[in-house]
Amino acid sequence: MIEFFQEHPWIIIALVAHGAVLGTVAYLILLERKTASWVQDRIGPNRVGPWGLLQPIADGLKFILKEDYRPASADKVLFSLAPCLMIIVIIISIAVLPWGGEHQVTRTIDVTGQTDARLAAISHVPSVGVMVGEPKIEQIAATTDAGEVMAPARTLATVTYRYPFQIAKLNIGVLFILGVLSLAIYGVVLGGWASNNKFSFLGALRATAQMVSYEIPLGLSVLCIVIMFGTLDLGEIVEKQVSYWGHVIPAWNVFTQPITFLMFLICIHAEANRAPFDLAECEQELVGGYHTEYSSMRFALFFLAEYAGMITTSAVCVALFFGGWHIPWLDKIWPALSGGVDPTNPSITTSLTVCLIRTFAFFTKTVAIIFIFMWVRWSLPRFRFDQLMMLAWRALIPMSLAMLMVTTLVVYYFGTEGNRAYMRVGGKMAVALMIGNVAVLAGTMFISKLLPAPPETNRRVRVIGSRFNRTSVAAG
Amino acid sequence: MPYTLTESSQDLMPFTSGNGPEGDNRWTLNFGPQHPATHTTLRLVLELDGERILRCTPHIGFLHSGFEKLGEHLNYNQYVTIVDRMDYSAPIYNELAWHGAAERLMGIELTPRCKVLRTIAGELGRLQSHLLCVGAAGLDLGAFTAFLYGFNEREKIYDIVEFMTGQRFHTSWTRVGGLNMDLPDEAVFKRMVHKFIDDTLPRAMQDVETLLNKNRIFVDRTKGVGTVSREDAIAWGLSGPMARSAGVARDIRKDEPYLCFADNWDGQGTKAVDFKVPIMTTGDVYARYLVRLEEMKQSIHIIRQLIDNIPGGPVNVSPEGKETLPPKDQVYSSIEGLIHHFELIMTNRGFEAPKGEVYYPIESANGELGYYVVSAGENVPWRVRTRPPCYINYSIFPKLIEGHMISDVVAVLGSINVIAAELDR
Amino acid sequence: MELLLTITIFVALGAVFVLINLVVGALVRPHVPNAEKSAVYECGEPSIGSSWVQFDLRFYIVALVYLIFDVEVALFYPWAVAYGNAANSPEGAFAIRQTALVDMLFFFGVLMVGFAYLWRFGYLDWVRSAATTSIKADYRAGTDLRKEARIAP
Repeated sequence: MIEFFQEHPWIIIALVAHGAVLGTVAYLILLERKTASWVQDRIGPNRVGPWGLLQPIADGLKFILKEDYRPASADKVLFSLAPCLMIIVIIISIAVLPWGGEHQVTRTIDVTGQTDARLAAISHVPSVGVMVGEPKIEQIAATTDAGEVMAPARTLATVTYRYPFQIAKLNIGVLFILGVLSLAIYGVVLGGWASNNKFSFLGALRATAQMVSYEIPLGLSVLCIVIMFGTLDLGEIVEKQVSYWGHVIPAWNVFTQPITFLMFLICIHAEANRAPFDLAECEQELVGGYHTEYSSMRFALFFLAEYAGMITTSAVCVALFFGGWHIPWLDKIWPALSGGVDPTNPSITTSLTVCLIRTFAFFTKTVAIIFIFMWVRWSLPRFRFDQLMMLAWRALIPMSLAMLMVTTLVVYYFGTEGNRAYMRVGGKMAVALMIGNVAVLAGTMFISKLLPAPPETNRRVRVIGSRFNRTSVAAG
Repeated sequence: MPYTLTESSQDLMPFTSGNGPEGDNRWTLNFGPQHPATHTTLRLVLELDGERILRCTPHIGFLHSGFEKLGEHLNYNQYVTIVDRMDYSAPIYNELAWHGAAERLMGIELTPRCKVLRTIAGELGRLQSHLLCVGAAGLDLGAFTAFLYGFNEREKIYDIVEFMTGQRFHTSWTRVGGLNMDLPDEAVFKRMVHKFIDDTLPRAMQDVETLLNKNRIFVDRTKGVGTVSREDAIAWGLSGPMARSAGVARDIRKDEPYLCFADNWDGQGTKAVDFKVPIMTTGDVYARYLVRLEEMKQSIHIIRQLIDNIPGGPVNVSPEGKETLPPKDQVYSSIEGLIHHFELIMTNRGFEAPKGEVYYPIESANGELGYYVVSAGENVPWRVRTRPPCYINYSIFPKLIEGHMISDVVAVLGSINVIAAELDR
Repeated sequence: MELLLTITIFVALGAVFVLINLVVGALVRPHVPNAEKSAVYECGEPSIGSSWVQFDLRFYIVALVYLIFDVEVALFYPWAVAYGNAANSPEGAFAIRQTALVDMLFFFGVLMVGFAYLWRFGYLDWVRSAATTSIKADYRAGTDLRKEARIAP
């Protein structure tokens, strides 16, 4: 059994990740309510269990036990399909998150009696693992004290391999996540449309236009990071941030690309449909938006998907901008945290404990980003739809395009000392990027003064033929 | 003059919900009665072109409770329990207006102590209502926190009101010619009010202002939305913050002063309390929000002037007079007091008001709240009519919202501060 | 191959989780439908007309513009990888990047022209200036809304 899991470590990781993510989602809801109560100067849930810790379980039970009904006029198939689609899509995107770098394992396997010892040894390497060097094969002859050979001799193969501490190490991880997350729109659209409810329909429409619009600046701000590192592998992007500038500041992208980070943060708020971008489900206008008609478990799936989406996007944010599993400063005391096996690749570690600690660190950072989500939600009012679109098309997209250009030019002039080295050393490239970020911000502020003002949208549109505007009937 | 149906009353006619080539993308949406943002039960039938509102038809009456009719069956003291339930965001106002009207009808001049207490209670009520409305301005736009910051302070007003009247909410505190009860402990009351107006409330208001006033999203959502022009404000009879934000400098407290807002209110030549009437000219949601905030500061100013100068003396006019209940020690210890007591509260007894009709307005938090009382000389009014600020302010709503988007409905509705119980009565 | 299998199994796990929840719920929860419950929610009033209405044309324009930009972003990705990775290539970073940069700048320039056009002619504004816009509301005699609203479905 242990053998089996050693050869298929991703099964364990998958199971644990599932449990962890879904459990976390449930407790994020509690965290959200506690955050809200903290922001709003009240107590929050405290009835179920100590400090309300059993509240998620009570909620879950309630979701299961409540009656589930759907409008008679709804589209039955799509209505049921939409929430499942949404949550599954979000779950998929968790698969490529680099939780803990790479684990290097050295195992000694008894391959006695195999015709090809090498092949037999290799067959024990997990399929997602990469072998390091050739397996060492040695014959061990058990001998008596007198030196007599006690037949038969045993053949032992020592094989060293690495496997990534994530569910699937895709070399196009970033692209995968962006692609999969954009599928989440379908859940919203189908759910809203199938309900045959005007509020839902309106919510679905808004959600579509919003998510579609914010995907562009999201993709562009991710591109800035991709250009810097020349890879789409999230694990590799994390690995290249494990370093220091001047032995003090961690070489995280948030310091080189602060404006990109802010744009990314805004976009993931919009992608996750969170306030102030929660127009698709805003209670005060659209009652529940696209999930107005949903109840019971189907509603819970939408709800879980929102929070799971927050986990994914926050985790991507951590991987791209906050050094993923990198624990700053602590690895100075305990170098094993940042590798120690291969000096060029700090993500490799021989200790499972280190992998787990890294996973914990990654997770903690993710929750910190999620806390920002909640903080923002309970502080800011909501946009109106036209303002939301204006922010995307007239502010974020031009800015992210400019940011992309600046990054491209910086990489062109400074990114020549070898892909790995330049971020490690920091120096020119990092400074140039920081200056570039500030320049883009300043330039945007300057140019926006020169551009013609955006149209006045808050005024009432003249309704010709209105009972309050009778004179214009004759005119119009 | 007979009412003739003209083309301009066409909106009484059924309207189309989009037929024909031009009307294809029109659709009709029920906004309310069961909707989170209508605060209470209002129904708006919105005819939409996309998200743009082409026409809004408000349907009212979901909370109609026959309050005015009840006034014809309850005597002048009993009816106060009913008026309490009209504007439930600040019940004390309705009491002030109702008993003000009754006292004007009977020609009673209140004692200075009663006037001061009523004024303080009234301003606390204004704070109560404005805290709700200012917070709701944030709530309707999605900033729930600002709303709760306001509500937290309302809770403290409830504490003060409870101490003052014995009831947290529907106080039924006023009586003809005075109050239900004097302050139980003046020192404690002063301490509570001081703590509230000097410490907790300014801090809470500071919080709300920091959250919203310069918040780009909030300003963008409210500036220029639901604009009322000065002419419209006058033509539609708007009052209160609705009118003042549109540049109409009208405040009953200045124009038709009552209680401590009148000069020589204590009969000894004391000047009226000092306060300013905030005016804005833009008339949009943001202006209404700012006007309310400023009015709260003025209310604090008014309370601060009065709280340390509560005059002594009785709260009720002449205990031997006909209208007010005798003090309890008299009831329990003397036959005259007991008879007086029963004379007043027994069925078919009580005092009789003189024949006549009066109108008595006060400046409530939402505008001019007045009672028109017609008396036939009985112990109950012959007819009671309320002039509710919400009803009249709400009448302009369809005009305000036409041509705006769905999202603006909640912003405008919140800024009018429609209280459905008062609207429908 | 194994990678795909991994993801597939992971997705299957997710689907199983969803199914378990739905099935367990379906077995234990009450089911008492009635006409009121299965009506569409519209704030407690009978719904007026279907909600599957034609909607604002702006949505199509957004979709169209999005398509163009998304293609652009999709094109940028492989380019960005090659560009960023050029430092490790034997031909030398500078040579590759020079070509890549010129190519992409050209593409970018073409795109910018389009973007400027959209900006200039107001296609990026969800609402073109409200001050100059007007809608014609032509209320002809037709469907009696009140009748329609009051009839139970």
